Amino acid sequence: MTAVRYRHAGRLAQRKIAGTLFIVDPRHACLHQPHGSGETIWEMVRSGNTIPEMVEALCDDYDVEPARAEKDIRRFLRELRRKKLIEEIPR
Amino acid sequence: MTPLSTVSIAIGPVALTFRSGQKETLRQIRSMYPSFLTNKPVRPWTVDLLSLEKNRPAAAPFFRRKDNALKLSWSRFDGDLDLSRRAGRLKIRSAGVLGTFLRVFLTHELLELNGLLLHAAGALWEGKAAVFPGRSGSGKSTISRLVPRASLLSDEIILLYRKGTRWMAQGTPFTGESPVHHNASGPLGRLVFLRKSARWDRQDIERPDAARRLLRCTLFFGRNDPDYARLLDIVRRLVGDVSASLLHFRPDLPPGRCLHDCCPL
Amino acid sequence: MRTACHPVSDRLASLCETHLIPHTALLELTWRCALNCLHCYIPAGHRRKSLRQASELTSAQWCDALDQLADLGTLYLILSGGEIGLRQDLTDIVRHARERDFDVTLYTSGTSMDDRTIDALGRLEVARVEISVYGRPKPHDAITGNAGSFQKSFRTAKRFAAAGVQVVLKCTLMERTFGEYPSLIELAKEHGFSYQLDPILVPRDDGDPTPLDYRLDDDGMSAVFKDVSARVSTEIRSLEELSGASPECAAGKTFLSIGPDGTVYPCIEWRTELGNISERPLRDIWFHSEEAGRIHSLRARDYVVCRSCELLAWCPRCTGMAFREGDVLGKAAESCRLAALNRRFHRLVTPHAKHAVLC
Repeated sequence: MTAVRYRHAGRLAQRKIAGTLFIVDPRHACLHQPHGSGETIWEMVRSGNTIPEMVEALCDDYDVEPARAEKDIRRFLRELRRKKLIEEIPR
Repeated sequence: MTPLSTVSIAIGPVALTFRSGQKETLRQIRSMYPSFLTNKPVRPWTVDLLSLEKNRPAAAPFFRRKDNALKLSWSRFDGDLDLSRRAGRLKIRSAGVLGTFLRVFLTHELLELNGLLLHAAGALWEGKAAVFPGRSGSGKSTISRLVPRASLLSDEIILLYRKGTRWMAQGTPFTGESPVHHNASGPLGRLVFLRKSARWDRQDIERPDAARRLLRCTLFFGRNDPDYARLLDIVRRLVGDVSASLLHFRPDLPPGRCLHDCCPL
Repeated sequence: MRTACHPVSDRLASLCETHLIPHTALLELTWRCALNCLHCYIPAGHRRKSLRQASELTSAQWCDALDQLADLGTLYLILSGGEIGLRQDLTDIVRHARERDFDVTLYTSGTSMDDRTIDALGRLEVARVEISVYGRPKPHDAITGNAGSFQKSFRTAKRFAAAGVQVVLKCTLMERTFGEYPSLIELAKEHGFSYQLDPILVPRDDGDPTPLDYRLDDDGMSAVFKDVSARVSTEIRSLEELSGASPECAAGKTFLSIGPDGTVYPCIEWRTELGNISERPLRDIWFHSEEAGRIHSLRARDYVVCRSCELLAWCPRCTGMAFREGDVLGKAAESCRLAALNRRFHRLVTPHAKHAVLC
């Protein structure tokens, strides 16, 4: 079964300013600022990584168990989808 | 014909002499890499700088070898080098793209020198270098802020290469949030991978784990399979020769002596 | 994840102010224009093709400028002119801007863009386009000096909207547009566009004061400000911003502009030259030029007249206007006039509103 991959939604802008990532969503005139692991997940969405790959990366970078990492990643992805900042890549 | 002027830079074992009729371009190179300028480059590559006028399709930067020809390409530069003459031409829009060119070029040249480029912070400790590989957001800048500035090799990209029986860590001009304005290097003592945690702690890690983590942080722009195989071999040797640790760190807690104690060299 | 629904959040603004990062840049790609608007700040000689095109930055130079702006930390990009539709390489420049993750706004009259260009810009996911519309067709054409310009502008607006781009109709409040603004608001609402009424007119860049002749008088401006259905560009959204009122300006600190020939300015109205990017890297100009250093060191205390003015909280103080009236640190008569009107009709203002995007 092909793993789910996401991509950033269209029309967004983003920039790392003084070490902090900002994401502009002009469709809703909103500005977002992901923190910590959220930034890593955001970058990995851009790279086309799957959830298992994100889990591996987060467990590398953070002192967290894989099950917990997966739960946090899925929750964050759900939030990004709810805010329409990412969309699933059609398989 | 406009007379050519030159400027030479050296980043560790790799030297380049840029030639151009545009004095302003060379002036910008001097101001971009002041700590890496050299009057006596050793076995330099000679690169003639020309103007890239036309837009190129957007693509990731890469290098590709065929026989004695080395092609380096990106949307904002186009390079053709002769491997036997160690010379060639590079078309650029402005001196601003040279940072990317240098990173692409270095990852090729370092294959011949048993070396590689890493996303890493690095610092000199009692005469030896501790290198902290990590991608964006891993904590490299945090660690860089904790070490004395004078001992910082780089907070963003480190060049590693084998010199005789030793591995060397070389600072580069490619900086992150804590620009380093000196050119320093030292024998590599330890690879220290970073992991955000609720505590400060250190543990040694096995070679396969070290190799896997290292590959994640390695810059590489080659398109030929033999070149990639060569890179894997360099990584294998590196983790075989150099100790590797995993440093758990808590960004909001000062380490005290933890950082030094956690990284015995 | 923290989210804010104002284009420039407190944290972004604070970081940029601390580190002197220009989060917004306005690029004047050209001063050429086929129109002849009565109130335009660009002198007629600058608008003519033969005189100016040779000195404009090339496509490659603009793309390099974008790279330098991205490296500096710029996030919001405004492409303006003259008329940007006259640049044959407009889509190339926008493509590069989007590759570098900028939020892109286009300022245009909408009279020089063909459908192919508009559709391409839509596919490049430009965030918004602000189109100058001064009212109904006849009064609009009388202001632009170009018969049929309203139809072209409106058609462009609809095409951009169809391409998924947010459209803002912009109207400068003048004595000739005073009667037109209600129909403009209606037009915008009917088509799902946003709108912006801008009360500020400035002299031309060569000092010619002719545009000031078209300023709306106090009675006219009062009538607009009294009309609560009309949103004026110098409003704010919260009372909290009142308490932080300061005469300081974002221009030259968290905002910059670049002219068609590469000259860097604090903003398009504050025409103090900081340097030229065809001669010197932007980072060098921004952090090491004498003029930029002087501007970076300005604080509220330096605006001796304005800092203690009772109208400060109501004042759309524009350093560019003060510059054009002869004293960068002094008051601008037009700002004072608008401040008095704002207080009278409770129209709260922020110095940053001019560069903000309206919802």
